Amino acid sequence: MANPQVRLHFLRSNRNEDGGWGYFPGRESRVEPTSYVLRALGEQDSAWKQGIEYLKARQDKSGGLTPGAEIPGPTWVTMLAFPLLKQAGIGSKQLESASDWILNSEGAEGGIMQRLLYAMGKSKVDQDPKLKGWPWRPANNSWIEPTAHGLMSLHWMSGIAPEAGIRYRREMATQMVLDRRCEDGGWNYGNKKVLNEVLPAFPETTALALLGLARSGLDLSVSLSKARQEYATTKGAYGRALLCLALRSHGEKVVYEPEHTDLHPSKNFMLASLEALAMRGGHEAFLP
Amino acid sequence: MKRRDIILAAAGTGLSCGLGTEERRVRMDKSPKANVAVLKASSYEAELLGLLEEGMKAAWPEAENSVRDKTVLLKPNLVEFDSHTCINTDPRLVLACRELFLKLGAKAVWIGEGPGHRRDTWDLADQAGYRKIFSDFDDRFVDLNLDDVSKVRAYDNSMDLYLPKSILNADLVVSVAKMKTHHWAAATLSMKNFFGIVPGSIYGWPKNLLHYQGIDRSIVELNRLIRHSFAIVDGIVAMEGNGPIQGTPVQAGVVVMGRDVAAVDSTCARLMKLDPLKIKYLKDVSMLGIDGLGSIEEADIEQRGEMISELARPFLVLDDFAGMRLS
Repeated sequence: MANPQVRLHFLRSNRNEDGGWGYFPGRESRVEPTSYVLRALGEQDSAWKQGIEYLKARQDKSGGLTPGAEIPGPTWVTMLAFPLLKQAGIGSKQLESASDWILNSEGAEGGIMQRLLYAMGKSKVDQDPKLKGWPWRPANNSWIEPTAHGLMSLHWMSGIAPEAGIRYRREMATQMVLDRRCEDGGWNYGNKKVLNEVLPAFPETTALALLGLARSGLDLSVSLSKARQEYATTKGAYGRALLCLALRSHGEKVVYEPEHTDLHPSKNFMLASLEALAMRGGHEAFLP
Repeated sequence: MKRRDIILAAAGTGLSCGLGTEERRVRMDKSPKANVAVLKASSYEAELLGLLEEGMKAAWPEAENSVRDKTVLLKPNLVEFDSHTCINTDPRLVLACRELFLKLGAKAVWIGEGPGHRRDTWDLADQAGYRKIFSDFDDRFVDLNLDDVSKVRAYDNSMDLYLPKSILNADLVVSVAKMKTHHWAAATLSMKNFFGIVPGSIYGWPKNLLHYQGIDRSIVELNRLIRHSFAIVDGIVAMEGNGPIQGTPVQAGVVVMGRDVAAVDSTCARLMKLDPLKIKYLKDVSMLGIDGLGSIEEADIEQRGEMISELARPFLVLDDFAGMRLS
């Protein structure tokens, strides 16, 4: 198995003064890359505590987290950061307000016209509007990636939020993800068919959907087969690393060999984090 | 009253919502015609740099003075990749564009894109041939989805946007778009190409907010905000039918250039045998009366280079847009 140290060193040596990470070296800190980097470094790392402080500082009055210090309004990054906040054992009040925000945040689809058109078979996109997951931002439709992180965040809510609320969101969002599955068995951003044209899946979103559906008990053999096939053929490092973690979350033994022994030329912290996780096991960073 | 009616009424009375003082003042003057160059290009193997130089002389004669020592950002279309069709701006044309602006004296020429559907931008750039053709791609490419952002105040009745600093700090943003039909907006050209500057890290994949606000409205808003722009449209191999992702390649053999992005797009529409006056975002932007943006009538465009009538060919469109065809 390849050595993750180059990547971990890259992450450690590029932390911003506020405790967070941007997407690339020298860029402003954001919740998304910080959440991936902290998963890769783990709670034993000396950078962990300050990183968690950065995340805590992004929680606003609503309970949700904003994407960055200068970007107001809570978004989907709340679901991405929640497992880390839980793992770090921050105050129960902060955790409860974050979990409330997550449980109360849902896609904006499902208006009467949308339902009517869908029922009549006249909808331009093939999405069941009754089924809601999570949006990227409040008052927008549900899409695969935020919904996958929403589903993962529910696994970390035991003892914090009411079980009935967790169960309801899990069932609804799971159905939504299944409804958006492409004909080839994988997922793209969340449109399987537009104007009757079948759309293909992408490696990275297939992986995220499978991470979201881990431990669902569903028969996902078609999707896992698609993920295996993508893992064998896709060249994109981001998709490959995520697919490796996703397949492992479903009990498959997968070895990750990065294309570049050194860092990927994009010098992207999220990618370096995912590769470091994939090199050493890593899927448990997403699921308790 | 619908939004379009409001825009029409406002434009007529000179009270168009949100226009700045300068824009209001300029609207009262008679602006000169917008220069648009139409260039014949049979293939990507042709001498594209020479072609673009000719086009620049025709479309923007003052370019050398305006571009010298400036930072230029080229914004191609890399929304997705599919080897069976022609979704993306061809990298050979983008390379020629970079050479053009460097030859004009630009201090630096960057390439920037924020793909609307895919998160793995580097993989997309690999598949589309960009990393192969640009030897320094990794040092000269900005992933606009993940760039640092600044708040940009929107016009009235709209919401403020967070846009990439690389776009806001560039002296010139060049929309190097692909000529394609579009299943929601009829055609995607240089104006619609600016959807790719909206950062996914703030607004998601796809950029659903823009659809929620209305595609036509968002196209107009973005192009009002990004005024330091120039347009080069790749119609050498274009896309017809169910664009912008699943359409069919068509050998249109043309490159279109100009400073007024709406004038460029309306010229492209005519080359596709579509009526630009029936494309909502073009009609809307023309009603705002902004100096240097919105000339879509033939009488307001100084057409240079090839004759449209000699290169125009009817593009296949979805039934919803059949009424937009020019006879």
